[in-house]
Amino acid sequence: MSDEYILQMKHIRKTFARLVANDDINLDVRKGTVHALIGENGAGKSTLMRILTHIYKPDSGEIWLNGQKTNFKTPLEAARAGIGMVHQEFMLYNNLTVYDNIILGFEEKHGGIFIDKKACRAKIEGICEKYQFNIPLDEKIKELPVAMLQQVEIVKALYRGAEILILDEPTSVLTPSGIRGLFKAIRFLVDSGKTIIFISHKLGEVFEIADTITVLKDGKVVATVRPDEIDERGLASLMVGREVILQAEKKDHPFGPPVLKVENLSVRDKEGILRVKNVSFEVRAGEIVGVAGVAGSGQQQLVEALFGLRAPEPGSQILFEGNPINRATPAQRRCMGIGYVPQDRLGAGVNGNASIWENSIMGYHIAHGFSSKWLLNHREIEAFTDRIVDQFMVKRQKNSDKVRTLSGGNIQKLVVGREFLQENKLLIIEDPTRGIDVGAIEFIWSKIIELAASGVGILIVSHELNEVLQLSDRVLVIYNGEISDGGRYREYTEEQIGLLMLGGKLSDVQGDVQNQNQ
Amino acid sequence: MGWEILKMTVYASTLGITFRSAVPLLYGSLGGCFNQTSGCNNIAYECVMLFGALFGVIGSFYTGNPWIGALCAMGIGILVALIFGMFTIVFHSNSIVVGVALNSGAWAMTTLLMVSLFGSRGSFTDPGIISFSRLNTSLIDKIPYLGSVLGQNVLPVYLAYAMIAVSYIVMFKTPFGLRIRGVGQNEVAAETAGISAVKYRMISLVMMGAFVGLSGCCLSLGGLSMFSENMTAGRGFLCVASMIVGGGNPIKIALVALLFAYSDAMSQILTTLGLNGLLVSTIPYIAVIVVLLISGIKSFKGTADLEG
Repeated sequence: MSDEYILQMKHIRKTFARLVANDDINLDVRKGTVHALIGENGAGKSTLMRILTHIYKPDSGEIWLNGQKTNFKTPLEAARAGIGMVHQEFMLYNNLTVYDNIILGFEEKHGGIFIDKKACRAKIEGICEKYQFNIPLDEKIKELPVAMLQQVEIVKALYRGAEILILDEPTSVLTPSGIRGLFKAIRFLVDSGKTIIFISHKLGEVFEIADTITVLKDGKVVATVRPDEIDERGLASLMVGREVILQAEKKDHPFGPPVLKVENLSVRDKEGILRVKNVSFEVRAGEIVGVAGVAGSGQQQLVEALFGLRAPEPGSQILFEGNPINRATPAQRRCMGIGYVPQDRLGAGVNGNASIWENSIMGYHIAHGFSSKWLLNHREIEAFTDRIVDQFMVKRQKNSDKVRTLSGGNIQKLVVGREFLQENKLLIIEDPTRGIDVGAIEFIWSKIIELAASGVGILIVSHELNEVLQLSDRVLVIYNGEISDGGRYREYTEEQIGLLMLGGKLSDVQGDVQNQNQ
Repeated sequence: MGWEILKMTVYASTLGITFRSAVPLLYGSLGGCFNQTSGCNNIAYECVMLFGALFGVIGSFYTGNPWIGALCAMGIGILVALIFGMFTIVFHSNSIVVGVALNSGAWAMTTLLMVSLFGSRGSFTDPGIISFSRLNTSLIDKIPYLGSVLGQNVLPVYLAYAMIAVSYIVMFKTPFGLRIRGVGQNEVAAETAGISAVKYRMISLVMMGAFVGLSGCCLSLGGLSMFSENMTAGRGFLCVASMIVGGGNPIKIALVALLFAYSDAMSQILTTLGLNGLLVSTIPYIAVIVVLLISGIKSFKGTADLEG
């Protein structure tokens, strides 16, 4: 039985403090196949692959390679045994040539000390010829496009003797034509006997390329299926369908005029890839609009453009209360009454080494007059900080403590409190409850609903689908930079939105609604 | 007067001084360039060089052999470099702070050692300090002009120039050099290739210590046979400047070091014209600023944008 599998991972368990990242995972991979590993962020895919490449050590469990139990001690031994990985973040050296990047660490030598350039080059050229890669060996990495870099990574893994090639979300950086090229290469590799583990959360791709699909959820294997045994909907519900634990109490109230109007917004990321494509929507006063989507679908760029951290493409129009704000700086936007709760609270939300009171006024020190012309007005600052602390129940010793000393949940409450207590007209909130406990989640949710009821327009961008569905008066689904309508509050089920998030068609979803109505 | 100065720029004696005074800079910057390239922000060259100069004298004075002096200098250089490595690589202290501390402390430490060992302040000279002996270079001497530039030097001078080629080969033709470059550019990627950044930084740090120590001993045993308080006088920083401008390429580094040595030689020659000595002695440092400015303009690409 075991010799038909090139790789078997048995009863893998890995915990980080109290978080169980991998719980009794079994994975059997056949030689010469594409084995897809899918699951939401945090489902344990990356942890499992890091265990396989020996970056992490599992708490328990075994890895069998070619029917033999392995006992690797370092990532290098795993690499030598033929396990190669193409990381989502490329592991390349920008100022070295492609050739140097490929051989580094695995140089062929002559005379014991010198690099045997001819032998190395011949080996690389052999690989390129066999697997039909066409990469310029003497160009520097920094001069090549992303799709080319991925090829370099694959050739590098093959050069190191990879038999099993792990591709970690390889399509997230590629354009559609790049994806077609990659799939062609994957097919070719598999046909010549290599084995591919393909990590993704885009269902369409997985159906196109995979021979076997393993679904991970919350650190456990939910199912291992063949693409012909299941359809996209079934897979989506395996992947995102989960029990709703939390319930938000929404209040009915009328909406006012639009505070934010976005027309034909397109945004490129810093690599120049178009991440938000011609998007139009509006947020009305008192309305909560939720943007659901798998991570990396363009949410980040969308929010950055809305808050003025990234310039939109020409032709885009962002209107705040009817005035165009395309060119306004973040500080100007704050003065107009736009609040922002960033996703990366330690990086962008607070300054960890500054005190609680400093963080309480951060960003609003100009906008809302905490200063008396030149000097800070400490009495007012203390009063405001105490308001945040009281109303948002931030557990702290004293206002002069460094923010870094607070727990993650308390930092989040501080950031949320700072933004919510201003007299803002529009709030952009990213992942308001990321990494905080259930009690705090409910509290922040209730505050968001309260704020909307008082007439503030709110845009929530969250990776927690449940959160978007619970809070939003209107759901927008972002997939691959395009926004589709996810209906009004409770119009569609979680599975249907989940399908939209993974690139499914609206018509499928509507069909389901009709089925349900019958 | 102008014509006089112009003629001096190509005097055999100017170039001869350049040839000799470049030697400490070459050892220091070529020995240190691997460490610099591996991503260590090491500025403790002044310190290592000063200790090297003192221990070269100590070794030579007590044994009567300049080569044992050189070994002592390299040994103390490695020791000081390892102290730097312990703080920055093992304990992750800020390398600039550690470097400044070592550089500032070295002046006091070496002076204290000189006073307690030899009982003299300011400087220490003694017939017991044996310098490197000049090579018999009669073949070179016969070549007109070049003979008086290159000839009549001690062996470490010629070895310093051989080191340019050796460093270039090690940097660009061996796995060691490639890995050093890789570690400096993307530590995480190097780790995934099974290359320990700490190991390569430590190896290159030992090289830095040995060669910068040797460069210090070239100052004290290269001709004068003496040690004086703070005798490196900024040469360690010239090494750092050469490495930064040279950008990890030993040939470029050597050219920059030679340029610094040449401006030093010019300032020495110009004092013979009766120009203000203090003013003239600023020439090498003005050269540093000019070179840094030019290399800075080359890599200046425009204003910073939002991406940072």
